[in-house]
Amino acid sequence: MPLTRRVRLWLVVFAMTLAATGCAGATGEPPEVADATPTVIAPPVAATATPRVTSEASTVPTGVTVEGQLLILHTNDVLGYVDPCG
Amino acid sequence: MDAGNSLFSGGRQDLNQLSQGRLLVEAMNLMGYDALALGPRDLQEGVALLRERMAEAKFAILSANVMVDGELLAEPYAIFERGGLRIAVLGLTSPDITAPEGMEALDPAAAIEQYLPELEEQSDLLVVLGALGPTTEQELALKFQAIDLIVGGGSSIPSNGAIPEGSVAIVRAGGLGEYLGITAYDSGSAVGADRFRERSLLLGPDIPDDPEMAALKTRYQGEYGQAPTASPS
Repeated sequence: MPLTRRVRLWLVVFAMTLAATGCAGATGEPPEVADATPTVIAPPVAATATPRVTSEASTVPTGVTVEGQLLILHTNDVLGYVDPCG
Repeated sequence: MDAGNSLFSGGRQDLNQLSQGRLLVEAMNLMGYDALALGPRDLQEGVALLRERMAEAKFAILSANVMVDGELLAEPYAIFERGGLRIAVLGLTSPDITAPEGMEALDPAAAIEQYLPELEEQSDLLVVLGALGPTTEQELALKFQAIDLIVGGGSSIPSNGAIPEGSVAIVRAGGLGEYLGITAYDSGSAVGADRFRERSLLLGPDIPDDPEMAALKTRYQGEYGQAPTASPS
């Protein structure tokens, strides 16, 4: 699957989360990392967050609907490192 | 967040590798990632190149156990405030793959022991981030029950559910970008690992491309002389 599709999904899900929690503006700010013990502060998300699929995200499978106080979206090994030495 | 092994493509000369990882870092910046834990594969291109990519990242790149000349290569952890919660994210790197000369990944358990007291003091939720593999993640969960959540990896199989180890929940997204892991936390009346639920979302062809990301990819294709049709995903 093209990287761009994965990214599209990520953005849609994250946008839904923010829309549902009334926390617009929390997306674009990257964490500020302090020298030794980085502390990152972002606008709080409402405790009653209930992200749902909206009409805007109608292409997202219905299985994406997850309710929670907080959502953590995560990936790993997104490209698959190929050892050049075999 | 990303549990690691995502920055480079290694021996496969795809668009990201041709750009020496710049494409991935720029894409992750665009997506608004908060944190990435260095995986052992992220070390394989050498410390100089890795530091270049780290300098370009607008997200926290973490590892509490990778040393270069006796000092940590990256920040060990970051603390985020979300939903009124202080969330500590401790980055760990698997030592199972030998790091290139000049870098060393130390015992993850020792790193947790070192940072656990200060993280417990500063946070409401303690997340360990790192593609350590199912066995190590399970061992660490059982040993350190003060951890709330391990966002792990090192397996191509997504957890598709939060795996409880005592009061710790373990989740994995699976590899190769096939799935997005969605972990929901709700303190509510639940306790321990039951506070977390996990869905693994298959990122199939029905997900449309994001225009900004498509433009980013096109720009790199132009820069590295790849025809769009010949570009790897």
